[in-house]
Amino acid sequence: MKAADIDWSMLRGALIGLAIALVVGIAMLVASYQFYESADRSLKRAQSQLRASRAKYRTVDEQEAMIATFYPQFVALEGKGIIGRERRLDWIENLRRADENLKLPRLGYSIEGQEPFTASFPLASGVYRPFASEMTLSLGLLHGQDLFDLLARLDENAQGLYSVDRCTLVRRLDRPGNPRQSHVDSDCQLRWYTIKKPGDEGATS
Amino acid sequence: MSRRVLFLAGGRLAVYHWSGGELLDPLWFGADEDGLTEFALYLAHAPHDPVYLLVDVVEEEFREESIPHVVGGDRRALIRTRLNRLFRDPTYSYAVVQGREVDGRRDDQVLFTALLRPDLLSPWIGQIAKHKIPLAGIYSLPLVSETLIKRMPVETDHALLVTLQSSGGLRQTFFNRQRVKLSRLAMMPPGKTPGQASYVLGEIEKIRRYLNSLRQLPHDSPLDVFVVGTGPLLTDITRQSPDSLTTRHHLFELDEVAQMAGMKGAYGSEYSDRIFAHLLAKKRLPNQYAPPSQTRHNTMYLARIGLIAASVLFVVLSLFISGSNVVESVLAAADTESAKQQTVFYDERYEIARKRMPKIPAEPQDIKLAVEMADTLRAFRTTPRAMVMTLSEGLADFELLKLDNIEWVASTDPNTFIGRHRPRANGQPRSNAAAGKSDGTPLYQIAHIKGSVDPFNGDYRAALAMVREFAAALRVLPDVETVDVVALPLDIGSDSALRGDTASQAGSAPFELRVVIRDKPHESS
Repeated sequence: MKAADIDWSMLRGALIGLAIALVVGIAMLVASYQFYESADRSLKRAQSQLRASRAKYRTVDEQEAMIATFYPQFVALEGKGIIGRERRLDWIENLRRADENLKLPRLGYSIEGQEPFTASFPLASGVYRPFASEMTLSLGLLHGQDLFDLLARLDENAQGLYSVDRCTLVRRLDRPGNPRQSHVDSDCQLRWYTIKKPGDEGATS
Repeated sequence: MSRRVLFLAGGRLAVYHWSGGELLDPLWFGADEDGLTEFALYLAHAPHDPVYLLVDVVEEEFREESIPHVVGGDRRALIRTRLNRLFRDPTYSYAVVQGREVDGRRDDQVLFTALLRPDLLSPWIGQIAKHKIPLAGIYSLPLVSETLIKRMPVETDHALLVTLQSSGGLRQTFFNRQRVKLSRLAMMPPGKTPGQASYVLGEIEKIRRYLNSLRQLPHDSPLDVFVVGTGPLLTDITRQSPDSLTTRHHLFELDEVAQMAGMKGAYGSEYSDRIFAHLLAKKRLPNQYAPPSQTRHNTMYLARIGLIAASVLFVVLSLFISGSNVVESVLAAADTESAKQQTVFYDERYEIARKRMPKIPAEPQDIKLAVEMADTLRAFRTTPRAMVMTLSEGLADFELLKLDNIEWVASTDPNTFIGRHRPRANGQPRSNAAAGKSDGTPLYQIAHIKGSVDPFNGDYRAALAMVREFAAALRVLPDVETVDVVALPLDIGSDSALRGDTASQAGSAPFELRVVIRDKPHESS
């Protein structure tokens, strides 16, 4: 059938009806779909929150067990000056006391500013991060053993955790002589570790 | 759906309305000026339902011909050509393929039909077109009667259907295997049934002879004649002409045939018109004679129906989908509310549980991680004690060797540079497994040692041997990874210059070693 043969007067009403039906139908579809989308989004959000709450609730027992196991250790570590603020004054006092006991010919020290510590070995971390302060000891020793006695006293009395990074030992005298004279010179670098939250910048003590 | 059958016969037009699966009583219009005026008024005021124009006129020709078996557009073109050739005015012509030849190239057997006097239809068609009435088609009564013969108990290949029409005509249609082959309308003489019966029998005999002459009938088999009429007519036919070798009569009363056609109730007419009109209205056969220009309003009507149906369907579908969306949304809203209530429930329970726990400065997981971090740092804590102990153990058998200087470093890399000595590129540690800390990462202590043979008596050979033995003694100690001799008391390599004075007193015999040991795991406290 050619376009000229089409009697539009017979189709006009039906075409208008179709147009209205399309507009109404599409409007209904769009509106109802948006309504559904909105409800579905809300449902997914609520379900997600519910899953999170359930999971959190399920971890209560686990958290209680975790606290029972680790919190006492945590408190002990705080007491030892490993977690929290570093105890520089305590370190110095312990060095002085050790020197008094060991009567070392010479004991010099310097402590650099605290920096975030990047370990060369795997180190788990959460909100608590490792920090380190580098202490350089310049020692005059009567005997090499004095170095280890000094470190042992720090181990026993000083609040904190350290590791010796580097040391040099140089023999100065072959035979025992003046006790105020250094027989072995030693320079050591100690790294004092502290674990704390990055925001906790309390003063050292 | 409402529709109408216009039955054109004998110069009159009967309009049958189809309602509730039945035909209503007809309206009659004469083929004169008054009749056409009334018809026009009728069309103007009646609903514009589609009309099916059924034509029962003498001026209709049937020709059976063969055409080559082609399909599609070729067949249509071939048939159109043949129609133009067969009929002088093919305005109302029709062709139907009834089968194929059994021999030769198996041409198509086509029945060509045409209404020879279009002018008989023109006034009616004109009014229909003028009032934009949808004309579904123009139909040949003999062709429509194919529908009837298929509903009658006809068991023979060759059958002659004889019906009486209201126009006063006797319609005889011959079927071969229930396909129309030819048809003839003869006008009945006026009078009552006795005369009609003899006339009917005479016409049957005439057409039988005609069929024989056309070789449409086998010589050795009789013609089965199916006569549809009133009871008295059928009685007269039975009385006047019993079955013979050439003709067998099968007589059916109109009521009986009407029932076969699916009509309900008493038939109430002496003629067969209504049966054919009923079949046409019921079956709504495809158009036969009407050219496309005359059915265009029907096409518009169908398009309009299609558009309305599409509109309704779309709205219904939209309503259904929208309804589903709304229902889903309501269900989702209910589920959301339920999920929120459960979330509040779990949150409350969690808070109650949390209140039982001690106040802690961070989440339990972070507390655990901080403790583990401290353990790890403690595990990697080291001092030079292990190195000094190793060197002391190594020196036990070498009283003449003295260590003057030790540079020591702890590292996870055994190749860490220390002192003046850079380790050999391929200097691999003896084993890593034993040196591993708690997490498997090894830690090493590396020392660069400077010493000398003291006292030295000038015997370089002995000094060299002593240093080498000292290195060897270190290598066999546990936890020692590598021991490299960096410098010997006397460099006797060919690459170096060597100077001395044998007359002078012996000098010193210094040496240098690089020692790497595995650090032992440190106890956690």
